[in-house]
Amino acid sequence: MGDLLQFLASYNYLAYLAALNAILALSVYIMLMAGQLSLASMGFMAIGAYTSALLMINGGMPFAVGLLGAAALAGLIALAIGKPILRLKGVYLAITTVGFSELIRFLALNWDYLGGAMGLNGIPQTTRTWHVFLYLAILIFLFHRLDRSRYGRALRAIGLDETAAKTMGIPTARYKTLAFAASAVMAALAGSFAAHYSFYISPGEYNFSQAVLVLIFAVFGGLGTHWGPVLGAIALTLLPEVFRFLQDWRPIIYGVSVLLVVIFFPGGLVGLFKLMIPGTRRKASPIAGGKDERHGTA
Amino acid sequence: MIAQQIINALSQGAYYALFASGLTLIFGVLDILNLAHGAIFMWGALMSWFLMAEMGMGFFPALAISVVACGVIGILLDRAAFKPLRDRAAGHLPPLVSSLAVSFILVNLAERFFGTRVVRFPSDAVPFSGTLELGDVRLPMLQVALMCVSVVLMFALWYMVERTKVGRSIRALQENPDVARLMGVDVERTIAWMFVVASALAGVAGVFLGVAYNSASPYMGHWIDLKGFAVIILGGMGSIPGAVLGGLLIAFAETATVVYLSSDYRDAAAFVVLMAMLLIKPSGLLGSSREVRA
Amino acid sequence: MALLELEGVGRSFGGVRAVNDITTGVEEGGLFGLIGPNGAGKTTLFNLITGLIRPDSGTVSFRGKPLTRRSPEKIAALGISRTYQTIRLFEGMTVRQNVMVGGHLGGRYSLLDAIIGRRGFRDAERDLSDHVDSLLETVDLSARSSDPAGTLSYGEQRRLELARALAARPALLMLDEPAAGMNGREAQDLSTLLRKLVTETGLTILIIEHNMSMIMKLCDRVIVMNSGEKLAEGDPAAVRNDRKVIEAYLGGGHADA
Ligand SMILES: Nc1ncnc2c1ncn2[C@@H]1O[C@H](COP(=O)(O)OP(=O)(O)OP(=O)(O)O)[C@@H](O)[C@H]1O
Ligand SMILES: [Mg+2]
Repeated sequence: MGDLLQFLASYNYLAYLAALNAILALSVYIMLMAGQLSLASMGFMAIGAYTSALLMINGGMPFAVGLLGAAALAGLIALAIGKPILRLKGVYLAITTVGFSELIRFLALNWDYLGGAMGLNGIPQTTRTWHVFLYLAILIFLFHRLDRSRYGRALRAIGLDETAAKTMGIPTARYKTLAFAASAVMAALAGSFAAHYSFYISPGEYNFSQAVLVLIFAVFGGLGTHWGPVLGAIALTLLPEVFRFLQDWRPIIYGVSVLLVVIFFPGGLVGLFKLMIPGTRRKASPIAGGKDERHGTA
Repeated sequence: MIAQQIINALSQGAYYALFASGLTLIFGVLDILNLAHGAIFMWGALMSWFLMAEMGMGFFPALAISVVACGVIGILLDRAAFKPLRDRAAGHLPPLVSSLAVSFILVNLAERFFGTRVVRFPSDAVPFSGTLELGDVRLPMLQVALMCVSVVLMFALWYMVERTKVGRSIRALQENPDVARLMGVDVERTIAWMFVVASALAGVAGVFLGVAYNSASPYMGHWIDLKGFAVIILGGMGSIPGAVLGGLLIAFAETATVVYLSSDYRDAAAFVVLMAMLLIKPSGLLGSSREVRA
Repeated sequence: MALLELEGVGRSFGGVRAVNDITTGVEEGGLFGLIGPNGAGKTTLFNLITGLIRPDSGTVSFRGKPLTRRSPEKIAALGISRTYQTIRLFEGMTVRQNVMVGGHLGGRYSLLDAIIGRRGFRDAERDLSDHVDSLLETVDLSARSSDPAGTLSYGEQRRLELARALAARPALLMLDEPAAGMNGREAQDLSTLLRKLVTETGLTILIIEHNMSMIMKLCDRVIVMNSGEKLAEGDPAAVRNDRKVIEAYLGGGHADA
């Protein structure tokens, strides 16, 4: 009986974790749609987590206000720093956004109000698993709609050839900044939900390794549609459980799986499924290797 | 006191430069960030520990074997993670992820072979154990050795890139891969050599760092990748003198932060310098600005 | 008033005066040729007009509005579309998606409309979709509509770029060597199509081309550039017999002059 409860509890936790990772992967994906590699998600996740936790602990606010505050603060910060940061391209943008996340982490580490290295304790556990599922479902719906609108097409166009996109009348700088803000809000809300799921947060949770893990989820799943990051996150969250019997060798299986998919299936997991299911022969993958900006000549 | 700090910063900068010059070489030619560089660095350190502590080897043979092995790992890395993607011109995102996957594998293999704990080097195996005293300044011989090795290796690398046939091929590839191919450069061979050299340098950095701090573990490469990227961007991507300059600059910024602020802020220093730099001159100190032609 | 006016426009790159003091104009509803030997500054002039680079002297205006300080996307929104000498398609997208992106300016609905699925959004998308289908028909690419753009032949890619530029329903269409890489038959079809667009829809076209016989037959007026300067301007017959023009081409050793 105890075992069964334990099993269900861990099952519940895994489901929660898979959904949370899917949300984070989507927050990276919206920038990848526009060809921008941003690793700022961890920074925004931390901002969301600390904001809503403090609003509830010190401000005595309800959970909903905490969530709103987290989303608003992250969105505003992203709008403020988006323009200068998004002038950078490719790996330069990647590193700068890592730098941003690291600075947020250092702030949390060294600012006593945020609990320093000890982190924050006693966060009200107001997140239910279904909150996270509902949130993921809403995001999937929003991506579905975005994809079918001129805004989704514009993001993809920016990712493939920014200059050409501009001469089609697409305000690329503005769309990139808005995508960045959307990505920030998505990550911040994920951060809040995660903080209020557990009892405790600390700066160490929001590090570089986490940021690249989320990137792996997205690429592993495939960047052709928003189902890629969702599937990728779920698969890679569950993979270590499936291969539990391999014990200490699991990281290798993990590494090898990611390597194999990235090398052999340009469309990721989704591309692989499409290959296996006849009749859904893959069309052009929208993001397969955007043109390198440095070779762009007219 | 100041003199002591300057010496510390110089030796720290020397090992950043060693680590980052390989990264910048690879970036300059292939336009990719190699996230497995830190894992190779870690293998250098752990392998040399294993050879010294478990096989009873001396420092120099252990150094030589570890460095050669790192070079070989470098080729394997290219074959597994980069070459297939290069063949289908996959852009810069997939290589980032595939090198990360290789890094997972290398770290996990290191856990299997060497264990997960932090290991100490046998004191009798390590040379340069004395200290040089110049007035108030105390110079551990090991630091002096590391600086000398760095200077020599940086010159060797510079000589290789500027004066040898492989170097000419590397520069041709850096300029324009298509033209290089037409000029008869054996592209794959050149890239393989480049990975050997870059990874061997990471290995040297790993061995010296492990010995200098007398500790090594499978996780020691985690953060250095990040520092390495900061260094090469600061100096200008693809530029070897830039890697040296960037390494020194970050080392000095970190030392100054520790001296004048607090050691709590040490790791943030690199990123503050880096982000300020990127917002002012994105091409880095010695990088050529690759203007986007419309 | 002319549709497009250039007043003393100039731009240097390092020491090279790529475009030097160009004053000219284009009236509504005609086909205008821009010719000149390699390196004359034709593409640079296109980039100056479409805002991809800024002039360091002079002004460009469109329907009386100055373009000089405007961003490329604002200039496009005023009704100027272009193609590129080195084809710049969205290669990861299908043929059809490329043209849909070209129609970005046409859909006047907000992101919120799209998310809620409002009428305005659905109608706009249906209109765009129909427009795209008819454009693909026009450039004879309907059969390839769901193929990746990168798989098209050279001539097909040029036609796709044309369709994409037309999708924005521009007032001025600027084509940079649209017939390059096409065979005689394709170039002929292209000429016919361009002339038809001008007479049927009142579109204005500015075209850079090295194919002289095409330019001479097709254009109402021709502007000739050489080393950044405007050399001559006038109807094709007059330009063809202009001594300076002949010299520039013979001096430059241009083959198809
Ligand atoms: N972004 C740039 N940077 C430096 N030089 C440039 C740039 N763009 C154009 N140039 C130079 O300006 C001059 C004019 O070039 P442009 O491409 O406008 O010529 P063109 O008339 O279009 O020639 P072609 O018929 O060969 O296409 C050339 O000398 C070219 O090298
Ligand atoms: Mg041209």
